[in-house]
Amino acid sequence: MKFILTSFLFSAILIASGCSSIADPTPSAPAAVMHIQDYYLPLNNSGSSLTYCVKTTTGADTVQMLMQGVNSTDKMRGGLCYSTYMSRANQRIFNYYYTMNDSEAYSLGTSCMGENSSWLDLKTPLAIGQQWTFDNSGGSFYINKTYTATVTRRGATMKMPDGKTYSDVTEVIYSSGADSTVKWFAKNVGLIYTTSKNPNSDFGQEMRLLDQK
Amino acid sequence: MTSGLEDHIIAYFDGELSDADSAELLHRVSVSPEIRSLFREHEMLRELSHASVAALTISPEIESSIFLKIEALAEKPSRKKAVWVFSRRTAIITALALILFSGSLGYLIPKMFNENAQPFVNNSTVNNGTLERGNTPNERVNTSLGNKPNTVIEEVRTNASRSNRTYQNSKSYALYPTNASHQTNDDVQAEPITQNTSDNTLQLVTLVSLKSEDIRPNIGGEHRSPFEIREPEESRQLFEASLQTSSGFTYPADASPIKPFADERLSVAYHITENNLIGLRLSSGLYQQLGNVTRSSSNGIEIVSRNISTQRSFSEEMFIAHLFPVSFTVPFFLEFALDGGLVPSGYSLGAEAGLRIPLSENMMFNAAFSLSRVHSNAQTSEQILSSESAGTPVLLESSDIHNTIYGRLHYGLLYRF
Repeated sequence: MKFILTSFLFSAILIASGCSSIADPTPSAPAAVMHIQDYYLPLNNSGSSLTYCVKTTTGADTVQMLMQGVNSTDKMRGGLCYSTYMSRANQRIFNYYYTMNDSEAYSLGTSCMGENSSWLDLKTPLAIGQQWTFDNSGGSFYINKTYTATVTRRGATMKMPDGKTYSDVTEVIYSSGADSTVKWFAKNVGLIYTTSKNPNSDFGQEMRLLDQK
Repeated sequence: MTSGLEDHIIAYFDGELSDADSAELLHRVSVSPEIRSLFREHEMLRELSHASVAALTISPEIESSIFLKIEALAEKPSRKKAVWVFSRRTAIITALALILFSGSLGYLIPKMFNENAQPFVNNSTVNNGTLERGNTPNERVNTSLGNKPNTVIEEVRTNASRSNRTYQNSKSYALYPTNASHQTNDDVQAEPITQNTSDNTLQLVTLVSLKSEDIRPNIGGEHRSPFEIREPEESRQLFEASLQTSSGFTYPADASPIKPFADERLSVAYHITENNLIGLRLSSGLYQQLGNVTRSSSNGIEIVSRNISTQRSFSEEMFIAHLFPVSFTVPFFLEFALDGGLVPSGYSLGAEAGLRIPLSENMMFNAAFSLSRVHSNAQTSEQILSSESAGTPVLLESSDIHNTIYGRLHYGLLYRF
């Protein structure tokens, strides 16, 4: 009888030993993303905005990207062309365009028709090791680079210098020779950070998310 | 009168006399030399009987001889089965009981003090732990008392006719005739017991005067009968040590199942009772551990990493266990245990169930399956990240398994001592 009582007492201690579960769940590799829009900019959410700190070779600036929704007059590759309004201290810089569907997401540049300057940011299935290639001229008639994009991390956690933490982050490295750009996308947020060794990059050498509304 | 007095004396020694009667009896003993003598005779009678019983020991030679005879009767040339410890123990106890009952109580003691005693067993006496033939019971008594074998104790016949009454001791295992009977309470003579060490004739053994210490102060308390057989206390093996190896699984796991002989553990336990024990355990095993945090820089960010890996480490545990003796074809024990202790960077709590199969009197095969919950005190990923304060983004890659279930099958040998 004493032994049984001791067993019950021990079991109670076991259960109440500081953790809610007996064992932690089995960690698993992040599943491949098949719905790319969850990790991209909130282009469909017209009126929302993202604020970035942009650093270029000439200096740093704060840029706000306001979502304007679909530009109904332009269509790209069977998808929709989304317009964003880029401003700096309430001063318009330019409009920047994107297009996306469930499987692909592109940066088009300053024109919906700028096919040669399009940048294939994400492509399904989004999983570690997944690769895709695309051509990009950077808007020049004389330069045409082929970039290889590789998903190098999935499901990571990222903490920004201001203390904000983003979970389920995907890291993609785009490279073409010595030219290398890295972008980090957080689920339900979009682009949170990017670095580039290309001096002619549209977003400078570093762009970090400061705020989102 | 004497009969009634002797009844009182016997009842006194049996602890059955009331306090008042005991006081009265002792008073009469103190004032009457005759009664004192009678009292003393009874006391000596019991002491001698008790001494003779206590002196009967079984030597290893006798023990092995008994077993050889048992084997011969059973027509078994040898006992090859390993699980014979209990039958042997039973045989030892049976043999002891038979010898003590039939030899000592049933026959030896009454005859030894019977005045008309004939050499009741001409062919058996105890001498230096071996059975010999041709000695008298008195020689056996002397031997048991430590006297030389050729000395004899006899009683001088009383000049009174003896009633040769038979006393029944409620705490004894046999009826025995006594030679310590007397005619009356008043005509009891102080009969000296004589001893001769030279020619086996009687010499005077002076009855010492009754001293204060002879009168036991605990009147009414239990007076243990010298005829009561006291079972020799079993020489309990209070400790045990076991060495086991194990294999099993870990959930959630970073590695494949733990292979056989991967873990080893040494246990030392103390038997609180025969079937309840408490002990300590030192294990060298494969434990899943969260590693140290490492930092590196890449593509403009700081990468903080921590892996989980299975590494060999030591652990210390304390355990309690309960044994259930079971006899199913062969005798064995079921074992249930609870344990808890320290593991690398954490603690463990667990339970296990198994069995013990005796291989010899001291050695057992021991197998058990254990389930343990192991908790790691290492920092959580959130704690690591919150402690980072770099000027660049920090990307954390860390396993965050802090609570793990270990299932292990342990098997090995156990030695009781």
